[in-house]
Amino acid sequence: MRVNKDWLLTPQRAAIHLPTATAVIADLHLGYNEARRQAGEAVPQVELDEVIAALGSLLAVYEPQRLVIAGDLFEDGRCTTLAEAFLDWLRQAGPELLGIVPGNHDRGLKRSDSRLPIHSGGFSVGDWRVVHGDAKLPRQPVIQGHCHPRLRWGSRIAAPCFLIAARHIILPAFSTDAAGANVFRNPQWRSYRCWRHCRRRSARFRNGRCSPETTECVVSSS
Amino acid sequence: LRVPSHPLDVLCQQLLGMAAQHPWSADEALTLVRRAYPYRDLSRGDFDGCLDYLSGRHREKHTWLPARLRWDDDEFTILDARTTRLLRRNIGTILAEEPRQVRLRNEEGGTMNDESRSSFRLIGEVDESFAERLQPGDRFLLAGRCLEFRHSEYSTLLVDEVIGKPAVPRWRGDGLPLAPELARRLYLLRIQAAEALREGPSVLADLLHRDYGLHGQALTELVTYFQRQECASEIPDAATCLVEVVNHERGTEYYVHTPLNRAGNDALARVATLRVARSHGHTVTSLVADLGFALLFSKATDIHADRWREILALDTFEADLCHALAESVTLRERFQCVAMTGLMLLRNPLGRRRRVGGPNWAERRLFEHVRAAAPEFMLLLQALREVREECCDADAARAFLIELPRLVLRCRRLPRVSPFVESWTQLAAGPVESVESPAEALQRLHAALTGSADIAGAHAR
Repeated sequence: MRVNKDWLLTPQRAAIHLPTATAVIADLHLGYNEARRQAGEAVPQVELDEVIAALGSLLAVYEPQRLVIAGDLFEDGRCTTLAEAFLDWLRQAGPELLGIVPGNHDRGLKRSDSRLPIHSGGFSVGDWRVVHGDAKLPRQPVIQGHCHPRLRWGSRIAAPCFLIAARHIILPAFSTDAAGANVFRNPQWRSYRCWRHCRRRSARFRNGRCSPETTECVVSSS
Repeated sequence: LRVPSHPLDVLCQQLLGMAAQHPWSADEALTLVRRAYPYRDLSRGDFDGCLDYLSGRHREKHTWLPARLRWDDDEFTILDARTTRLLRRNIGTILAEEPRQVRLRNEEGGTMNDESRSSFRLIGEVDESFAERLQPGDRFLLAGRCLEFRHSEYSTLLVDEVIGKPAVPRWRGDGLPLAPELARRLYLLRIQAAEALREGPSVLADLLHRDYGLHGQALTELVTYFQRQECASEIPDAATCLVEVVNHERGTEYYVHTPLNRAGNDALARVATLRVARSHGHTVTSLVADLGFALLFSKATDIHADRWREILALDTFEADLCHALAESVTLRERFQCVAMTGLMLLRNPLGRRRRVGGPNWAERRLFEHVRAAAPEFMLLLQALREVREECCDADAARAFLIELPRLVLRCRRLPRVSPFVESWTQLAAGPVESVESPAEALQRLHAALTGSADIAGAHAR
């Protein structure tokens, strides 16, 4: 799904800036199970390969050359071994890691591994600014994470989604651990548009009905 | 009331408590535990499974979970002071939902992010289930204020204080389903009533007055109720299994009348939905109740009596029920409760609570991780056992299916649901079998939002 001229939104919950072949993903929350173990819970560890399997699929299908992470790479920014494993994985997978914009979960990230390309104030991709979204947004067009948008309808449909406005894209959480916040009927997102994979139809949520003049929220089917 | 049979999640808490007291050998601990009535039949295998879990050991003896116990020779004791602290903070078997914070919006309105959270004044908490039902504009009373719900962000409810009357809070309780014997007796009463009604309403009234002591308005209402059912459909007799069929523009609904309570009908509905989805390729939802269950199709279908006999055949019932339960939401929900009681998950963890996964993380993710790593994990088996004992009466369902070949199975088409179905008690959403892809489900969502029936071809891209 192509939106805002330059962006391709993928079922792997990534946005690819086509002119620069740069994929942007957000909210990986790597080490989520480990963080729960640290808090005393008896949950199994999950292999990194399993957690980022969708990233492998993204790279195989769309072949982006570069990668930017819009925050919350880790559930807890102090996990140094995980950072190393992630860098090793990326080195083998191919794309150049251009930047990591730290999110609210990444506090302490800079201290943990200086090899990570940290950009605390955000990162520019074309005319767009990649930020996490937990602070005041800049004036230029913004692509961000942090909100974990999810479209939930009844008890049977719950899917991560992209929220899109003319100068604003909100990415779904890349992590499958993230529960997500329901955007359906949420007045906060009323001015945002909603796309699905089949482009023919578009709709704006208003009182549970859609009007066809708006729309932009691509619902990921993965 | 029923005493649960050797609940292993509770046993894990007990063993940790004992280990915090002094070292125990496994044999000593097992002897003590078996002195408690619920654990009188506890098997050595289940007991060892609990000790393995608390020691972080997989069934195949490798480490897969953090240990809570340590072993010195043949005796176990609690791992360390931190584990004792965790135990003290989390002991107990009454599970409560995590509350949702309620914050008063500032005068400018706007939204909340991490920076501005402090400018939204925290005024209290409400239960998750109460919060889930709130729609923007709903008013409720909290901390002596009338509050109007605006929207929720990051699991927090944002509200405005308003002048006016709040709605009276209400909670829907889960009533106890009928006992199996009571359900059967009610079914027999219906048969008796039908026979009396054939001789006239006055005969039925005499019967209800003489045998059940009914009189006045209650008597009149009940006689009218049976008459309405006979007019609209029929009262199934002892030799009949009645299936009522109602066609709507949104699909076809089948209401199957049985002499079973909700748990028995739950087992039937699980197997029926699975078989219908498998053989017909239809997405089907269901309702379960005392004295019947319903299958609801989102498109027009025609299932005749012979096909119903196949759907409700005894062959492979057990295997199909196991398959349906293994993939059910009910099992996932129960596993989350069992994992909490068994201290796999903690209500009060150390440090900051991990909110990213949301309140149902264990249902969605932990369940998958555990099932992949250890399908025979004792807390998984405990969850399955509880579902089978409490939600799903396979024995009663099997007995009904054994009887079914001797019954006349009659499908009766009705313009609307019958009085018997209208009065089904303990009605609850039953299992769902979906054969649609996520993309098709989203097509359906779009059609529902736009009111458009023309969705064909939209999926092509």
